Amino acid sequence: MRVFFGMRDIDILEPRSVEEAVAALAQHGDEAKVIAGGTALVLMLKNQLVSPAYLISLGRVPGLDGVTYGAGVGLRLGALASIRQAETSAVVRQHCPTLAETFGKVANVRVRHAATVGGNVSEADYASDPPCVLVALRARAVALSPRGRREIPLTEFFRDFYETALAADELLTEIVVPEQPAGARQSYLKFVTRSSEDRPCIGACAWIDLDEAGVCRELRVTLGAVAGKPQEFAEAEALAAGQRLGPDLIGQVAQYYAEHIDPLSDARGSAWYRRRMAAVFVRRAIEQALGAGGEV
Amino acid sequence: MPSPVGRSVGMIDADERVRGTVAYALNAELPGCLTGRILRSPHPHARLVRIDTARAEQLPGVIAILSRADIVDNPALYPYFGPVVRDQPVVALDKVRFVGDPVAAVAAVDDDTAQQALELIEVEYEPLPAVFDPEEALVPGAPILHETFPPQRGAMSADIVFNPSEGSNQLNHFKLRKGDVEAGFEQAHRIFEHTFRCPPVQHVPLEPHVAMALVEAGKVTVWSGTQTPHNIRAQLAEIFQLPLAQIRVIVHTLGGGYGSKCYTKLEPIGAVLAWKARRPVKIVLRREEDFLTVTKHQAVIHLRTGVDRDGRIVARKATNYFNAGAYADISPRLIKNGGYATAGPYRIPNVWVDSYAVYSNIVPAGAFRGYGVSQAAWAYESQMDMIAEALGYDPLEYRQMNVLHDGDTFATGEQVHDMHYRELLLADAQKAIDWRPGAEAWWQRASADGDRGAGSATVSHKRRGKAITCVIKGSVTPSTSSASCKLNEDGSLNVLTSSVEMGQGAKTVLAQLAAEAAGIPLEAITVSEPDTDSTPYDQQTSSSRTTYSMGTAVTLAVQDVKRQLVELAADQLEIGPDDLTCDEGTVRTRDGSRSLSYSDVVRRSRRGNLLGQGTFATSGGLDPETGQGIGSIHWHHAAAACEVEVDTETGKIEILRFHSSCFAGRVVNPRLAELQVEGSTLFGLGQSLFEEMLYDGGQLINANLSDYMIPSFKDLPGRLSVSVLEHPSAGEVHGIGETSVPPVMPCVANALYNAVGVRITELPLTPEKVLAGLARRSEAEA
Ligand SMILES: Cc1cc2nc3c(=O)[nH]c(=O)nc-3n(C[C@H](O)[C@H](O)[C@H](O)COP(=O)(O)OP(=O)(O)OC[C@H]3O[C@@H](n4cnc5c(N)ncnc54)[C@H](O)[C@@H]3O)c2cc1C
Repeated sequence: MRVFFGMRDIDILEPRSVEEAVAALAQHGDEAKVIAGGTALVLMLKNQLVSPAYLISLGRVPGLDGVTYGAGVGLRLGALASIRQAETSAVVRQHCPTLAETFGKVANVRVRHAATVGGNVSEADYASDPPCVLVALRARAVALSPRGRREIPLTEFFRDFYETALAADELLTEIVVPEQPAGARQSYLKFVTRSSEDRPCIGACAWIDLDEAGVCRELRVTLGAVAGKPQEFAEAEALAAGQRLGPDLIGQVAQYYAEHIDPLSDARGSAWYRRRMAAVFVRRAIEQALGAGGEV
Repeated sequence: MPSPVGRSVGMIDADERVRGTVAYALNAELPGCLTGRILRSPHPHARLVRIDTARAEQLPGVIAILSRADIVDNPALYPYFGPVVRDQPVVALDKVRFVGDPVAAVAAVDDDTAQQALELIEVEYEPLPAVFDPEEALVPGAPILHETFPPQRGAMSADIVFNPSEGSNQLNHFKLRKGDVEAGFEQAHRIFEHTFRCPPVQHVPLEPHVAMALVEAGKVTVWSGTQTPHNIRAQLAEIFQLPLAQIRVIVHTLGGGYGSKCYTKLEPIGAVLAWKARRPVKIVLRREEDFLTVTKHQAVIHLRTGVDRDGRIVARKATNYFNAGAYADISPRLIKNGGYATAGPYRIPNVWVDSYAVYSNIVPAGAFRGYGVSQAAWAYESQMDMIAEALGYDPLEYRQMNVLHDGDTFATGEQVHDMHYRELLLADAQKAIDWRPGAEAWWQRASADGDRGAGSATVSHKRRGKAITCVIKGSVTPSTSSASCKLNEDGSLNVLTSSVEMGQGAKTVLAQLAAEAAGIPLEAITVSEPDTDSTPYDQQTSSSRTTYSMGTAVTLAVQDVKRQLVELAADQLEIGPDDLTCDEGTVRTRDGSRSLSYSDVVRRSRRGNLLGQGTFATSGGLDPETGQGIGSIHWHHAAAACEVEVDTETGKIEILRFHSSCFAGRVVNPRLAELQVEGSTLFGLGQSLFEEMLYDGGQLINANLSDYMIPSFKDLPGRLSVSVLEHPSAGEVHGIGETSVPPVMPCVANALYNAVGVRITELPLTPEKVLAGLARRSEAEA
């Protein structure tokens, strides 16, 4: 099917299998764009931010929309699973309620029905919610190309504004969220400065693994929407290892983030504001993950 | 028969609305219709050097391209439009004046072709210096948008005083001079001076601007989503130099208007393109183009207020700059409403207002729900709380002390009646949020409990605050509405009106009023959509005037029919007309002994139907030099009350509860009236918290709904309530469509202040501004 959109003719290809999709992508490479839910891509086409000759629609590719759990593997979110599906999935809610809630904070229910997990991650918009949580959970992206299958840790997946580690001929097929340690708890806070359906001005995820005595084995904190990709500072996280997370320590971590991010300015908040919000939301996210209230 | 007036009958078009079968202009189709698209200027200000459409014309499927070549020196066309001053060309002639200014238009067989053709039009511009701020635009030496006005045609509305300063960007100047303001300031105990600003915002109706046109056999027909069908007709008659009777404007139900669809917008370009194409053409604006078509006025208001020793306001001087953008649209009138409104609903003996409409190189501003009063109220209601604090008064009591009473004179020098601020509106607002005089203002809380806001705060970093505001708003005066009706021989009634249904329930309310006047059930009534070939003149569906003005005209038209009914029945029954009454679809003798149904009377008369006519014209107007006279046929008033919770770590404001009180005189449909007030409140909340059109060097950078935010249902206050208040002394209907917008923004700002002591004088009240204010305050305290 050929359409005229975004000031050019575009051929829409509708592969019927993952293999066909990968082959089509290999054949057209730079000239092609994958389209899943289309919620992001159609806007990009309309505004002529991208102008591919081919759109490879995943709409008819079977087997990419599962949301499953396997013991020892963790959660597997098919690239074509809708965000709504991920939000409401019983296994996601059971094994990682914070992740389910995060999907539930994306846009509004209409967008969540159309948008896909793979599309959200591949778009790599700096102001998305799921990426910083998936990074904190040490999820992996599974990519397929004629050269084979590879797994990319999400910590390496996001490169910069709208830039990922996916090669032009690679298809994202699923996101694997590994089994989390028994003592791990997470929180994600989405802070919006305009309408409640806005993208985040800042998103903060805290991931804490506590031992039985309540001492922190490991702390991870990721910040979304403050820079080109989710921000995480190992030096600050290391402050918490082997410590009890009291107000002073939490404050130190929060301060570290606030001082070390290089925040952007946009209509949702200036760099000045984002830096201050980093301090507030790193602290609140940690407190929330600890179950200390810290409501937004 | 029980009157349907005063009852919350459902909207008569509810079924179509729910089924999605409302015939919006957006969905209108004509055989052979072409798609029209508009090429727009990328420059805020530039001379149009060359425009070459040759390549675009060769594209298969392109039927016509309209550019200045078609209209310059074409005696068949007058190329300008504008409801007051004809300053806006159908397409750019010599210059472009804002990013988005139409330069050319294409009619093609489909949208894709039209869009491709746009890219093939070659335009050469010579950029000119541009100016965007209304105060900078008035500085001598600023780039001038309109060096001269084109030769004018036609008339402007009776209420408008047009005071341009040619050769400058001052488009109009409204003056109000009441009492002796300098003497007032001299006698004042204290004088307060502040400046308030608000940004341009957009109406965002769900249905964008739409026009479909056909020029055939010397007749121009336009289907338009407009709130002002008769104004469109008059302007098209000027452009095509045809009699009014040769122009036909057909309007379907609108998918929202809010003022954005008042006066000519797309109709001239659509109709002239159809003329050139010799085929019907339809133009539907993209959302981003809607943002480039009309906005609310950005405004800067300098307010100087003098009070005496007892806190009474004795003098006010206001200098208001309304940014009109690149073309006049209705700015020359709006600055009048936004001018006299700056006095607020207060007894002020000495008032001096200079209200300016100023051209600048941004999107033209026009009518917007609240109509200039929002900008004025943002200033004076913020300042009321600032003054109350400085003088040590409770903000509510301070208003009660100064507010207008029945029989007082307003800033326009006219006596005002039906003023119910104290016993109705403010009392209702107070009750709704449990305002405790002496304990709610920021400074009162400081002295009362030492820890401001502690009493009601839930979490330590959150602070709560309340506020109450009130406003006064006029309705366009003088104005005229006319209606007719047909009583058919089965007793059913067609109401023919040019009032536009835009979701506000005009059809329903007019049907209720007609049913009451006719004494027939609501189901027997059909209300037309506007069609200037058959529905009578109406000035506009705006200014909160339809229920009052058109409602009165419809009632008069029905009474006209009833008079004929009675006369005919008197003949038929051989009895004097004075011995007859009409009700329940029946003409009866007063003793009840004999009767004829309406249907019998019409049949027996062999007239086919009875035609009734009613015209309602208000009179008034203001003196051009002093702004004294009759500003409004009656005055609309409203109050607002809210409680907010402010997160002091993020600066974010949450609206815990919001209550709007609106005076309605007599309510025709309680539920629909409440919905208007609820809608107004949400409109105001969006503008309070985040709505703002952002420009970068004249380029609008958030002209879409991901970057420009409007409230969603999740942004509703925790509790939202409204009162639509009646008073037995007020027999008349008061307009309520807009009155509850203006009090919202200052109400939120004052509640914010009472929560955390941060005063913000520039909308919107973003978390960042609040946080910056908190930071400044703690620095100052340290
Ligand atoms: C109104 C609105 C509000 C929004 N608000 C939020 C928000 O609050 N928070 C938030 O996180 N996000 C938000 N979003 C973004 C939304 O989550 C993304 O648009 C969506 O997830 C993208 O998924 P999609 O399936 O529609 O992707 P598409 O639009 O189809 O594709 C997006 C990009 O990913 C690529 N792509 C898609 N699938 C694959 C694949 N399997 N392999 C390789 N590349 C692929 C496409 O080529 C394209 O570049 C919002 C979007 C809208 C429209």
